[in-house]
Amino acid sequence: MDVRAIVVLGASNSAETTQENIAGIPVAFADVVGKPVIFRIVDDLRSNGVNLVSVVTDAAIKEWPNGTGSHGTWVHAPNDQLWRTVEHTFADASNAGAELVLLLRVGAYADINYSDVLRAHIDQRHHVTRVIDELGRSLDVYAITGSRRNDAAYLFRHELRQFRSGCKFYTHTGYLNSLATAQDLRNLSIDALMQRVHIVPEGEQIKPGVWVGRGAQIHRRARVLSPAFIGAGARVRAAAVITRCTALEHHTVVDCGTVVENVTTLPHTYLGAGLDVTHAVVGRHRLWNLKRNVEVEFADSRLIGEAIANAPLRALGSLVSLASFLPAQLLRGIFAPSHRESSPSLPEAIQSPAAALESPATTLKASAPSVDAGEFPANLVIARRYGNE
Amino acid sequence: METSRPVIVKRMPDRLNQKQARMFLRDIQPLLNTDRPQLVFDCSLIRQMDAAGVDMLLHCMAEIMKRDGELKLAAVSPQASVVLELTRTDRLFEVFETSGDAVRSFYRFLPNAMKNQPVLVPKVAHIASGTGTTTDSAPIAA
Repeated sequence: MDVRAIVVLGASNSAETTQENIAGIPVAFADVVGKPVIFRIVDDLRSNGVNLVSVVTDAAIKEWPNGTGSHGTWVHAPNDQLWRTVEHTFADASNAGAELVLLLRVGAYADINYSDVLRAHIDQRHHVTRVIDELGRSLDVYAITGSRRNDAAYLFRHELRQFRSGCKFYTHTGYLNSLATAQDLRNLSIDALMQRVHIVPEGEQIKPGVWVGRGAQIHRRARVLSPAFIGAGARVRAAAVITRCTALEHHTVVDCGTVVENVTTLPHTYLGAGLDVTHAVVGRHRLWNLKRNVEVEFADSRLIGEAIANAPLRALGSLVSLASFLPAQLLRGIFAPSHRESSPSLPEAIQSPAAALESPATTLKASAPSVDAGEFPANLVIARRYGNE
Repeated sequence: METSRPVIVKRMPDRLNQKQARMFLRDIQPLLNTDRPQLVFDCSLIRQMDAAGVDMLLHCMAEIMKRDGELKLAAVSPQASVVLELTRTDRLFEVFETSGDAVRSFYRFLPNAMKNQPVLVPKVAHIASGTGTTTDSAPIAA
């Protein structure tokens, strides 16, 4: 049976799903544990017996993720011509002999068994089958009989809102993520790392729950706590801590001493040194704080910036920084004033008692905090622990 | 416990980049040079803050502490909160919901921020041998 699929990306048919963008690109273009969501959908369709997948989008070509050539046939729709382009694509498929066409608007990410949808469509002997969730909401997934061009055209001209001759329903009861906001993108990464969804991280599992992509570099003094994903070509520098379902997408750089906790980064993100990045989606000079539900833009690339995407330029940048580092260190060594205080001589240091022993233990009572004194207790220390520390 | 020294509330600009931070610092320099200054920075307008802004806050804090004064932050906007948390500087400042709360806190011995937190009360246990005393603490509600 000749089954084809058309994946539509870029238009919404309801007011609630108008967001579906992150930093100006569709959420479906964002990477989730190593691969863009849209590529995962295309691969999923192929593995369910779809012969040919066409992706129709009105997003600018420069925004398309790398690797579109090997993930279906991509068609760029001009402004306001998205559904007309979809109609033409359907007509082309029908003319080429497609018996069944699956139409998906992305949209939500759902673990749909497409083979099952097609089987249900054939069994129900109707022209159009609509996939809905358990609450009866449409998932914007339709199985359309290839020869019913008029039914399909009517559906597309009404932007998937109306049917020419009704439809049958298929209820999806599995995993569903609306993929409309940064929070949804983060949830999908978490679910993938926790294996709640059929998404396999793109990398080698170096220890249980830790996947590392090709060419990723993790400093030996950095700590990566499971579950976590370090994408291809990513760098985790010394004393950095990666924890709590963090997904660092490809070519992300985490500088020295930074703690990254419950975070998804977009590809080519630079996180500066000594930061505490928590509960967020980060990338393209922006940070979406999921706890406060706020988006913050960073003009200062010392905090959050963009790692260079071009590999030769990246290598050149590293060379320049190395070349400038050595003279700067030399000059610092020569001209900078020394802040080091002269330490007491060794015999003197041995003879003198330790500071803790100088005052008798009974004085602790007087110096200890009390409610009556009303002072902030100096010995109240808040320790933060990570994983197995 | 009352203090006769004035508390000065200063509203921060909506952007705290290098240029704005320098201008703000120039504005408040006379305040920093007073004896034991008591300052509140109202951060409600801040929409964008970079490393220069954080540097400026730390510089102000250092200058004020040198003169035995106090600097508190009030009405911190979500954007500023994110940057302060990101740079781990939020824990260095006392932060209040409103400027009024921050001002009032200067006239109270126990800061508002500590009112609902457990306070450690020392329990003294004498060691039988009489060689010394150990101090143990148990939290109770303040």
